[in-house]
Amino acid sequence: MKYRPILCCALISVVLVALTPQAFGQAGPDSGSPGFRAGLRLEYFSRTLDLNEEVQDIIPKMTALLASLVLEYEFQPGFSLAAHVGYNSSTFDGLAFRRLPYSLEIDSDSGSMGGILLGAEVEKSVVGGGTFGVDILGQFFASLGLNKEWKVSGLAVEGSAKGKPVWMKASVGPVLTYRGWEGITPFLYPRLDYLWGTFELEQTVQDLKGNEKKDLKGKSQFGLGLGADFELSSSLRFRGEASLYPLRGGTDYSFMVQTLLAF
Amino acid sequence: MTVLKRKSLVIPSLLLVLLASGYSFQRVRAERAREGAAPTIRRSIRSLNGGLPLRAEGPRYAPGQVLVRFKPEIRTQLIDATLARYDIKKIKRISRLNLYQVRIPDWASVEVMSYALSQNPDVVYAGPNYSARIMVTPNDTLFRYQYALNNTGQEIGAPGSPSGKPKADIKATAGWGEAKGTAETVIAIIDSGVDFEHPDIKNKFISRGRDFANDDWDATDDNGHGTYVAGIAAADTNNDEGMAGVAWNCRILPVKVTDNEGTAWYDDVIDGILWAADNGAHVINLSLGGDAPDDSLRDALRYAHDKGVVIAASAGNDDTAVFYPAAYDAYCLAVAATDYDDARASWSCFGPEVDVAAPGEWVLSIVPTWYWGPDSLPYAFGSGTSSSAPHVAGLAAVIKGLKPWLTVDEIMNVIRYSSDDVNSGEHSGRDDYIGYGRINMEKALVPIKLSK
Repeated sequence: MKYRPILCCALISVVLVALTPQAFGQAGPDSGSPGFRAGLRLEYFSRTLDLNEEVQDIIPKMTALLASLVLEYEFQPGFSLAAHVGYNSSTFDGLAFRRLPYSLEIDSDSGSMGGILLGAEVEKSVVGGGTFGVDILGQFFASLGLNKEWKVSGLAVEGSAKGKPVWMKASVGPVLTYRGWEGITPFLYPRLDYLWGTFELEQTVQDLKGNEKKDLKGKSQFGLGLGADFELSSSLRFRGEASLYPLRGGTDYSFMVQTLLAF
Repeated sequence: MTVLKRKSLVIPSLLLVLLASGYSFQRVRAERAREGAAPTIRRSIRSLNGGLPLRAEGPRYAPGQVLVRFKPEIRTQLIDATLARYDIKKIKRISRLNLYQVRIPDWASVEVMSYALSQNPDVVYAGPNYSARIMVTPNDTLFRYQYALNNTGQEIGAPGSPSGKPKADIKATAGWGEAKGTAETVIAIIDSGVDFEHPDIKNKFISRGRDFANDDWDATDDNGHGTYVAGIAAADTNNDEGMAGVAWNCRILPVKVTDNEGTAWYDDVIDGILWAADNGAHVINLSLGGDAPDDSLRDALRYAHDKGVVIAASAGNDDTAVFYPAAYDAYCLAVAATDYDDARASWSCFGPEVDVAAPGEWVLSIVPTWYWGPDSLPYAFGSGTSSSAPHVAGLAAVIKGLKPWLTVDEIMNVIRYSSDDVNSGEHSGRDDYIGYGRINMEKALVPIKLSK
């Protein structure tokens, strides 16, 4: 279990390497001329966390709103690489830190926490040319959380807590597309999806000091996205996607919209 | 460390007296004999949840359910139509509030549906069906008399006794929701010994202890005070009878240092502290004290403190300066007394050494089975900082079990800083009368929510 994030990264790396043009003699569909595209991407997700803890009064959850600028380069038709830079706002619920002198709980009333968002995305068409196509899409996002400070209230003396979440999200899977319609390309994106990270909380209550780092892990590791690409003009593309992440006793979800402008 | 056994050097002024003054017991005994007010145990009371402690577990709100409150003027037909539009099924209606408990479709999450419904102009409120956390209430039949642990405003003693102020307690039921202590944590009661036969505590001892007053290995109580103190700290709890102790699951190491009159010599107290520290005590309760300082007594406290033992000591009952050993503030928590209204007890000793306070008036606990004779239950109400200190010792033991990595000083500070400043009207902040305040188990144990 401990090496899962590394295995996941390794898997994505293998996919990235495998997707180089040399690895595929087969060309993808003619979806536009090679060059740069730039745009904006917004994503919202709500994920149930698995903290691997015995004492758990509340099911821990994480929700995040991601906003990023996207710069995509299409090396050749059907093969593109994108970089993301942006900001995200994450909210946590049900995170109890019991190894501090005073146990603390982060919940939905604790407010959202900001973070710098960095990401990379690679997409390669492996089967194309007909009505149906298959691409492989790999995504990686990292949120480098900014410190947030709270007052520890209710005690006889002043106290504060400082928290910083750092999380990563990686997914890889085939994108099954239908290209039979003009201007709209619906797709299905079943994928392996892994969310992991840490949340570090530091407590200071006069001379009492403590620090606890909690490992975060998304409970569901499979996602199914349904979406569509809209070619609004020869240079403007819009993508929308809704995803479900099934898990025992419920479903997590995410929504994503993205616009890209070719230049 | 130069702590010597030197009984011959002890001067009369170092005589220790037990701080829960005998008159309290005598008064209660006389009153109860006169009024016939002995509490009775109702054997027919059945235990809730099969005797297991009740606790809210699982999700914070009901999965797949939302509570929707419509405006009062919205009629049922329109509500039905609205709910049908969202593919929602009714479970229950609370007509007085026009509130519906509904089941949402599988494809929708509680959050999204709550949000969607709350945007509807006919809806006053829509949100998850949250669960409430049950406070842990033990099934001990006399628990209702223990205002110190859970004050509901009940009569605090025999019929006709004053009623307490609701919530003037140490928030034990809330604290127990998080932790009740572990069997590995040992509280040494350095006092007059204990009654090993008392049904409400006999299963809690780790050994027959040590008797320094008579120099033997049987700490049987011949006074009553030690049994009373031990009961407050860690009586057998949730056992369908008697009372509840602060530290449900912790065990007791009895150390007898007083004679049957309740008097101890410093050398025996010193021996008792050192022996307890060397024989597995994690917490020491000292419901005794003298008015004279003594370097060896201080060194014994330091020895135990440096070995990782948390010490709770009674401040004293004379409305004067804090007694020793409680006055050795660096090594122990000096405990003052509050009452059933969260007011400082008028007789409680005061000074800069006072760290915290705990209930010390009309506190119910066990007494030896021989104490009242066969016609009465072996329980009594007592008053004094002797009653206050074991509340703190019990809390220290629960913290120690929950967070064994904390140092002695950290545990002492956790107890200090989590106290409620119940006399803030007269003395805001830490003061010489109740220190940081009356202890609060909930704040010390239960995770504190961080709010933006």
